[in-house]
Amino acid sequence: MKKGFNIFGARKIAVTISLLVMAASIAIVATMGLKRGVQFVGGSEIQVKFKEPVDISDLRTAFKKNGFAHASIMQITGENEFIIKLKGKAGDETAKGSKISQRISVIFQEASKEQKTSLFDLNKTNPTDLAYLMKKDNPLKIDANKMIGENRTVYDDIAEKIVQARSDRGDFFNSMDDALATVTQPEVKAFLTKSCTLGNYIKMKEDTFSPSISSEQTEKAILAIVMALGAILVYISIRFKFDFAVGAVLALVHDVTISLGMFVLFKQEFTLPVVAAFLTIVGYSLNDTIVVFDRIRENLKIVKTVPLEQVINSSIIQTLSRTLLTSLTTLFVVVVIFLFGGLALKGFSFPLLVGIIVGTYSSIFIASPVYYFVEEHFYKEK
Amino acid sequence: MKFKILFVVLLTAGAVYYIYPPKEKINLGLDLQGGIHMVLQVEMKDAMKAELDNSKSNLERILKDEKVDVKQVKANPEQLKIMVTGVSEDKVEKTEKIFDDYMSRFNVSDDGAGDYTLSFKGAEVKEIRKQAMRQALITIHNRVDAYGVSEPIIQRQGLESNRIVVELPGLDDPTRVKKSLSEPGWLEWRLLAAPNSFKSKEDILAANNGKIPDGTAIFPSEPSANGGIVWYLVKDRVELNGNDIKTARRSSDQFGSPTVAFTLNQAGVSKFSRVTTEHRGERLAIILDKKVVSAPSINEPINTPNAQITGHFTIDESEDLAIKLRSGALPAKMTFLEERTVGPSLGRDSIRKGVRSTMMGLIIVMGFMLFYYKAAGINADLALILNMLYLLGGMAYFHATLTLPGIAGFILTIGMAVDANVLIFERIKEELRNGKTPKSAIDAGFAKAMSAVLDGNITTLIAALFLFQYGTGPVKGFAVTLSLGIVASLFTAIYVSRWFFDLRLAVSPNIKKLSI
Repeated sequence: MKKGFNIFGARKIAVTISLLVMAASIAIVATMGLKRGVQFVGGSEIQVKFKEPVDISDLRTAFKKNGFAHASIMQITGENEFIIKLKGKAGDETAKGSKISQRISVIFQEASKEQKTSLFDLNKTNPTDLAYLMKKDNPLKIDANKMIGENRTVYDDIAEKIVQARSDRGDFFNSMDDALATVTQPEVKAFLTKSCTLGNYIKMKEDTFSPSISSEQTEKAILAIVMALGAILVYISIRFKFDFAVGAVLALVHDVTISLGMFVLFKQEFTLPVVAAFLTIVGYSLNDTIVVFDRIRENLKIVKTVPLEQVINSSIIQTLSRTLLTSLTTLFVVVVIFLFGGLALKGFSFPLLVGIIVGTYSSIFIASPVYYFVEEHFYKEK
Repeated sequence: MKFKILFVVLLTAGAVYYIYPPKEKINLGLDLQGGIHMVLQVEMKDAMKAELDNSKSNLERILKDEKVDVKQVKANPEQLKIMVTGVSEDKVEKTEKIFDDYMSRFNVSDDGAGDYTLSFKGAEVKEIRKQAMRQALITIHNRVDAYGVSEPIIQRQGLESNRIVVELPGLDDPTRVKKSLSEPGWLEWRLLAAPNSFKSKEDILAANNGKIPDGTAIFPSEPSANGGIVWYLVKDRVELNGNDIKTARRSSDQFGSPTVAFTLNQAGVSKFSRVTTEHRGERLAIILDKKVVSAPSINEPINTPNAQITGHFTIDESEDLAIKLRSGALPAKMTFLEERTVGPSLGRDSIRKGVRSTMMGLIIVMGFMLFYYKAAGINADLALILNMLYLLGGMAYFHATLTLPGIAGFILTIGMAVDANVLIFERIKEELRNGKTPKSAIDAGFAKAMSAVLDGNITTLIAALFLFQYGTGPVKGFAVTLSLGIVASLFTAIYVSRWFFDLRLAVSPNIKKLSI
């Protein structure tokens, strides 16, 4: 067995550092608290985009004036986009939410100086509604019996083209001419010009959760993570030995704890996709550990006389390049998602980013020492 | 070898066949195509109460028909019980026979002194729940269909819950659909107990010396065009209800105002004929969801099945009402637990960013593999491309839905899929360093890396499985993409990439140096 660096010899320092960081993480979570998303506390979250710049303080004033003093408003950096959060109070159900939603629409309308009109809004519409509008009026006078073949989707195609053009222009049309540039039929053009308007804001998304469903979500999320850990413990116990499983699962607890600490420290919001990210950490950060354990298992079969400590150390060194490389390739794509995946995926990729780095470290410095400790103290029969 | 080639080629062709054209074959989740996702709860208590009230009026009618005088028949909706009090001694036997014959759904307990308490049997409670859920699902289906929403998803959440998931793609301002789903659509015809309407509840009480007569109730009207409400004193007895209607449609009266025209079924015609004959000159209130829509006077007996409801309707409102009547009533009130709306712009934006990130991830990872493993990197890259193809093919084949987190899972798969290649390649390098020939190094590399590759991926699969179990909608989409990606990557890394090596060895069997 080749001798090399004594990585395993550094385990005491490493474990001490890890314990300290874990303690710090727990302290951070305990004192700062998890910032739970609207799914977990109940309430509404609305993302709105304005055509012209709107001042965030004006928007705040408008919300306060309209009886939403508790609204928290955040601007998406570099965009005319805002996220508004209204925490739910116990007993609020979303049936009331729809009235709230209408009141908020009025605020947006005033903030963006949008004209009140009953015309159809080409900036807000989706293809389905737009197609429906045209089908009802049927400006091309297509005989209902001849709505087959190409004719069948003629209005759907026009609607899709208009919405796509809007999307290409950054979600807003500035003028009716822009909006109708893709339309070739003069009858349709005339009809849309007559019956449509161009609004100044769009609701990108709107989520409302009743508080009664949200407490359930929290329980289910915790349960899913704990059960996954348990199942993995069982699997590793079957495939390896129980002492390996203890090492693997403690390394996972280590990864999840530190990722959660970082998550809270950087004031990230805990949402449903974040639960997915944490479960992915549970599944993925194990891969490196398994590579090391697999090699220890293999080496133990070959050499029987070498002390366990040394077998572990050389196993770690032999697998070091693949432990680092596999994490590296995954880290590449997680960074891509974090930087370019958009706002919604940023919160998702952050814990993954931390989890993969911490997971690689723990598979080298935590999993094996725990395995060694359990093996030496509970299994050695000499 | 030939069989292997055929297998891989067939599989690839199959994947391409299932994916092409992607716009039609890959289902986009609501978060990508825009639309609304709702979770509704059927308020079972309402359904039970309605059932209880029904049984109570039945019992009252039977007791009256059988000439059994009782002091009172009272429903206790909180405890779901019916109390019958003051049965005279000589009628006890007859009453108990009536309970046996007609009230078999209830457990009857004799409270002594001619008092009885009836409560639903356990099996009945279950049955009522089951029926209520069924009716709710059917009614919601009918109503959503009536608005022409394409490809809606309407299903019970879990097997035992009182919840229904409704997904309406393409819509982003479904005010009307939502309204129609939250309003039960209970339609009743009842006679007015006082011929005129009142300005307030208090006026009604004042007109009746502070207490409304037995067998009557106070109902508000639907708000009129200017938002005003009037109040009516209405008899408890229901003359007709929504079940007596065969069909309904939007219509207009002789002045062109919107109305709802309906056709009664046979039972409805006879009930309607009887009430209009017996109560000529009185007013018959039409009550929808506990609000009086209108209360026309009965001018003459009506024996035909066709009639109209007039009120202060807009065209849309009359259409909505017709849809409600056609689709049947919901068994209970619906509570909206969750409602997620994604506008059309956000989805398009997400797709654009997703495609861009996928491309960047692919280029970086493939570039890295080429840089680090040289010729063997080509193996890994080809395997990766096939992996992506199989993943998409698998999604199309299983009709899985691509969601925004699913896109993240897709990109993540790019990074994770090459892991198996890395493990195998590193092992081959190690075997080469130990002095093995390329051929035996490749054999040993694949054989020895296998256990670690399998174990690592299976644990990730376990986590994905729990995620699938836990998650709803978008998160489930992530679990599906991740799981399919793992399975595809196992196949490509172990099978396809191996085949590429074999191909190279077949071209030059005595190769001395392996570019890896």
